[in-house]
Amino acid sequence: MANYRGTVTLFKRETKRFLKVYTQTIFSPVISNLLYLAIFGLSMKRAIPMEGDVTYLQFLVPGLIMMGIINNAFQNPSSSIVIMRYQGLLESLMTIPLKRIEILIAFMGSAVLRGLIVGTATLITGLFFVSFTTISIPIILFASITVALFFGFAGLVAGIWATEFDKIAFLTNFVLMPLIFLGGVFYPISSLPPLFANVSSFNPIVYMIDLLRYGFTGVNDFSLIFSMGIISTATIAMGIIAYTLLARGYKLQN
Amino acid sequence: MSAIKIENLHKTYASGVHALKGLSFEIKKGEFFALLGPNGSGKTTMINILAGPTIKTSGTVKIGGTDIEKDREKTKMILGVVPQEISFDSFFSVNEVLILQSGYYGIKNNQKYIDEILEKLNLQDKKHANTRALSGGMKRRLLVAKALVHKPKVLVLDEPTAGVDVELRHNLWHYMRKLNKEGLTILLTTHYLEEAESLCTRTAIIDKGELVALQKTKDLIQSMGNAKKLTLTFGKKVSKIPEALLPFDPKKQNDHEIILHFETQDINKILKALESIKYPIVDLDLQGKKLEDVFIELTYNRNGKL
Repeated sequence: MANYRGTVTLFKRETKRFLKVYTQTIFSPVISNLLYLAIFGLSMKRAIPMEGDVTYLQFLVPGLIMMGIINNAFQNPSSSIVIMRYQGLLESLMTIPLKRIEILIAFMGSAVLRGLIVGTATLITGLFFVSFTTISIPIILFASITVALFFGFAGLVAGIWATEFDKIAFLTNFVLMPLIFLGGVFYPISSLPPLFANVSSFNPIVYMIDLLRYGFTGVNDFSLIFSMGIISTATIAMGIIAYTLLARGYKLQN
Repeated sequence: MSAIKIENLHKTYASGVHALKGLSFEIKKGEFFALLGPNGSGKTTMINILAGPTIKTSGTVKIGGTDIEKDREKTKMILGVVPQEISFDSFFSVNEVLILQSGYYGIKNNQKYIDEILEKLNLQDKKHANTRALSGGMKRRLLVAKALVHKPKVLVLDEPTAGVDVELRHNLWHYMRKLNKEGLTILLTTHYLEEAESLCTRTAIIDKGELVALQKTKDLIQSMGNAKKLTLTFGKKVSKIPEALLPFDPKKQNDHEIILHFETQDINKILKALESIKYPIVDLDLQGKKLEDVFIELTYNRNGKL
């Protein structure tokens, strides 16, 4: 029998946890994005050629929103699980009467919520610098939620795998951040030389940012269906990995 | 009906350590049951298999008649577990932790019962304190509170009184006795053997993953024989052991004390002998076998460690 209240309680626990430290989890990424807007937006707007009527700041804001979603959806479950491991709470998590799928749903609900809160806050901050209309709200919602889910799953996998904070820092600094920065947050992939553009096409974040950017500006480097297909497939695959690790109790049970 | 039934339970860790070697026993509903064993004997492994953090290698475990493999969540609902390791959720206050814990078990609006538990465990004035701010003993009592919020049918206490002072330990046992009388089944592991002796009706002793004894606690102590030790303290210096005491293996402790050894059935002979001696007796101290003696005999002595 499903334990709805238990699942909602774990979701609340995960959510209250990041809301209690909102300066780190909400304010800090928004301030970072504000700095990116100020520094990159104002200094690079002449250096990067734009297509049509879209200004560089209008181009940049969706990239920053996606960066906020990715980082925060990833960090929520990863840091929560690593902290739980340090505080001896993983045993409690394995003791409460929740199915593994319920644990997964609770963690993902909170990860997506945190990603969307930071994404929305970044959007609101961006509106102080630049005005823009939206081309497709369904595409914006699809891109935001699916990407938050993908990185929520990835964060959970990372949290389970990383037995120490160092390993999470390694993943964040040496894998996630390069992929985000090379994923087209600050420049259009089409502006790269062909070799680098080809290499970039193996980075899934490129399609995520491109899709969200289309939703806001109507500008995209890749076909919408292709991007949606890549993102959906990657999210389902990462979800299966996350569930399998949880269900097998990998590094959670002995 | 049994509250917990374990049959031929084996656990081999990835490291190759064979922690449980075919453990089998049953705890009946309403029992206050002691599980004793030296460090590394497999007690915590067994408890973690019951609770969830450890996966058994083979064997059967039933909680409240349900196999843990068939319906894990149902068996978890029946159990309340106080783990040996102190853990605390530093993001939340004591009250928040207990509200969350109630929610995991599907319970809403549990504040009244939470307040009652906090009072019984002397934590009411820490209700809104962050768990980080609690002392070691308080953290341990919070773990007891967490294990009780969903009114479990079976409570597993893995060394719950380590680091808890005498008065609070007393309160805790008073509360546990009350809950046991109300029908709660309790499985206790402890290193304070006098606690097990005074609280538990039956005792199991495990060593190196094997069951070495399982009996009523009183019978277990009696199985060591009815030997008694009587210390006599005299009001004046005793230069020579009185002749009447010689049949009772007397040992002169000092000028004023003599220790006698005898079996329970010889108690009348001892009393007569005491009447006949001329030295004034000012104090008597009678000691029987303790659970600790049984424990040492069945574990350390068995392994030739003492």
